[in-house]
Amino acid sequence: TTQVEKMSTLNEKAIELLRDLARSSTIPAFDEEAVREVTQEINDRDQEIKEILTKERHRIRETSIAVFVHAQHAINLKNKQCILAYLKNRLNIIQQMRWELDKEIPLDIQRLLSQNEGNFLQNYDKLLGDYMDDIGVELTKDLHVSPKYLFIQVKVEEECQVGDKTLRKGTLHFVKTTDAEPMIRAGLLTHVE
Amino acid sequence: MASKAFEEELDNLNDSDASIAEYQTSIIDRINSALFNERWSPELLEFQLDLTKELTEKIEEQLEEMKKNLPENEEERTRKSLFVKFQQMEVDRLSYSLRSYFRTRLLKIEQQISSIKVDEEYRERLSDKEKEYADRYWNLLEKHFNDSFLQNLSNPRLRSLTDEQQENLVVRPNFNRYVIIRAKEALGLVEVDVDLGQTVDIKEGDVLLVRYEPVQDLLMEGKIELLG
Repeated sequence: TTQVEKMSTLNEKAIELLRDLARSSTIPAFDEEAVREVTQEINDRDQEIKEILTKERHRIRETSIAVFVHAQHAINLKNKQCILAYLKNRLNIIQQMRWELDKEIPLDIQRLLSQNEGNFLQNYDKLLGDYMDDIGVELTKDLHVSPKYLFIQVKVEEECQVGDKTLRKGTLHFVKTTDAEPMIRAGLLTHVE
Repeated sequence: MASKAFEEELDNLNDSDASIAEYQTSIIDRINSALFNERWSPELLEFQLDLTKELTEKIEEQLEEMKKNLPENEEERTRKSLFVKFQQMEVDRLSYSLRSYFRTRLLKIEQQISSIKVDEEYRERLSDKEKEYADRYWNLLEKHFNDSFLQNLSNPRLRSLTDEQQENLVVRPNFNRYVIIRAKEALGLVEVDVDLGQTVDIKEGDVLLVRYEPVQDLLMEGKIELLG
């Protein structure tokens, strides 16, 4: 019965972790605890498998034993897949932030990342920078506004610098698309159609 | 007389403009075509080394031209300003297309990094610099997964990212996706659906919505282009 009970928990924890991530609008805090728990689950189950294989060595060819070991191992693989998915999806969000915000990742978001994620971000930033230098193309420019028009109309949300002019809050201006684009991305200007 | 000379002048102008225009559209068309194909294809396509080189040179040429055209004084400034604006627009347009092309590919590489790692042939579609990026990116991922999780697993055989048991960790391109194609030449009878045995007689310029897989080779051969 205890074995059946254990099996019914399957990989609920790992799935819940992924659900939380999917539910969140930006990115939730890295759940160190949950990852640790699932890791423990995998290791415990692995230990059980080892014990079964040694204790029941003589029964290894019996279907019930073989199926049980197989199923347990499959649960472990599933758990591993879920945690890797959790990690990778978070990295995807972090990468996207680097593209959208350049180097300006707000502090309150930085706090939500694990130590390892912080390191990843730094190294990813360097990797991207090196590649862009290598090919001589600034890839993070013009992410959202294609220079279909040379000049566009913008509304100033926060005072900022565009080209060589300082624009005051609340004013409307007709500016060069490529000059305005970083400001639009940062939310300081809005594109007026 | 005067009008005839004028007509001849117009003809000359039109010809030279047309040839310039033809050349300009040609390179823009080619990069946009490469860009769209890359954008809408589920798989990474062959890297267009020659095209990107040509485009980079063209952009530099244009920038050089613009530098030469810098106005000397106030009077020249107003006279040349419209022309400079057009030159700037051209540079922006070319740069944007080039940028989009590289960017689309890079994002695809990141998404499909496991396929690239596992499949030698697939990896060959990357440029040398992209290969370097892919390797470094993979190392970053591996390091992160190890540090955050895998190293804490007691069974060393579970720590691998690429063994055969974990085939489902590898992200493969989705060849079942539907794409919009345009035929660049007459293709004759093409089987667009193997299960239903559906064939279509495709003429030059035809636009169709089909599954990617049956037309994959046609794209590689340059006989079709992707529009969506």
